[in-house]
Amino acid sequence: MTTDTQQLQTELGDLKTRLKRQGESLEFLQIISKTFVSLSLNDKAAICDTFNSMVSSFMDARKSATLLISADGDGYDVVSRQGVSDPEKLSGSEASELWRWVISERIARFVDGEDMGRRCPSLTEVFPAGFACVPIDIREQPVGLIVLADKVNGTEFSGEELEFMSAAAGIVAVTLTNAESHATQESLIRSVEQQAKEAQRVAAEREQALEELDQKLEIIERQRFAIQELSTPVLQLWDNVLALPVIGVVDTRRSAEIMERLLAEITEKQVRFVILDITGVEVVDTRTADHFIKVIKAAELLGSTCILTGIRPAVAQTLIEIGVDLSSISTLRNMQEGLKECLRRMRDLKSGDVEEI
Amino acid sequence: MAERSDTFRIPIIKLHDKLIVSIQMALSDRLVMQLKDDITTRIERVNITGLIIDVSGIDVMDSYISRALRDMGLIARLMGVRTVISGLDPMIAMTLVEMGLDLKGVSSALNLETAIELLDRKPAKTRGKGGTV
Repeated sequence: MTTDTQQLQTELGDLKTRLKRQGESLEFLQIISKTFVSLSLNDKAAICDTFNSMVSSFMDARKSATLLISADGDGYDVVSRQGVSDPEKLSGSEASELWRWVISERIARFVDGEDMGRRCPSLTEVFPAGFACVPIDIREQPVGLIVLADKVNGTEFSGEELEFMSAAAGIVAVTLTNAESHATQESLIRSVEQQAKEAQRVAAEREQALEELDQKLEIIERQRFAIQELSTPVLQLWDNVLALPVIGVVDTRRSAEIMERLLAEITEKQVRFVILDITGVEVVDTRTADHFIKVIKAAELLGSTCILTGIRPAVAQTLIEIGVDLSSISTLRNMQEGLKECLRRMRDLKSGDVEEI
Repeated sequence: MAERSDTFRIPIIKLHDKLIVSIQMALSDRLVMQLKDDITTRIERVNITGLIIDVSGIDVMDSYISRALRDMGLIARLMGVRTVISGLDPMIAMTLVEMGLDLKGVSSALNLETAIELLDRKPAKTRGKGGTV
């Protein structure tokens, strides 16, 4: 009876201790969460460091390490450690095998010294009495693990403690996820900013190009105007004689300009004779010829006499071949002859000797 | 200057052996007909050799008016009178040419003065050089 009571009392005491311990772990988990929330860490190493030190102090473990699967997915990086003097051993290929096995189990567990010695002899020196470990999962994918060993009081890790480790691993997983999304967000923002800058630069370049183009267009317009002015000069050759040397190609627009200028000059200066010199016109087709005939007829409607000079041999041949009728127009060899003819007619006018009316 | 009444006529002035008609307003159809009648009557009544129609006051000319002017020239020629049109506006000249209209049978002169000079000269002698005018 007494032994039963004693046994019961012992069990009760044991249960009390465990309950207390569990209450502490819950509190501690809260503390861990609060810490992460208030620190709002975004660096993986910093997160693991904080976590590592907090958990190991709670568990009274002298040795602890947090490992994450390295970027290439093959090995393990020791991100944070405490009491472990040679991290190279933890990240060695033999150790990696062990971690892979531990992680594949997907649960928090204790690996005793014997088991470990079988699987990974090189770690025996580091964790002579075995170790407790728990994988860190993010969205069902293992990303690393926490290793704790060598408790101060020398006891083994209990089931409650392993559960606590699992819960803590959950917290660190959430924190790591947050950090990751934060990093992604940051990089997105950066890339967007960069793109905006790039777009701005491109826009500025385009604007500049447009401006240059505008300037060029303006120059072209000015030159066109200058060429136009230069290409249809109306010269006062003598009293009552105007000369209009035409150079280049005569299209509808240009012929209209020529006609306008010439007629304006005729009315302004009241000249009797106009010499239309087409030495500078290399090519004449029916339309060009028609333009010339129109100019001449318009001038004659005003009361001026028009003489066409400087028809090139090739042009003369073309005109006859295409059947242009210039019989109603006086044509002479060159401008000199044209001027002579004008002077002769003026003399005739003075003497009152008239050819036709 | 609007046409003041139906009886308004374009004045025809006789100077020595010439008739001078100065049109200083837009021509209406009635005025054109009237002018044609007036000119032929005057040519018949008065002994003249030349007719000058000064159109410096006209700034719009359509095919009807240009045809009427040509007709007047041809009618006068039939009656032994030479016709000269003076003071044609450059823009009108361009338009006439563009429309393919001409004033064949009617000479042109820059202004009234040259028109008189032109009529004062003796009648034609054929030119041997440089084609025809």
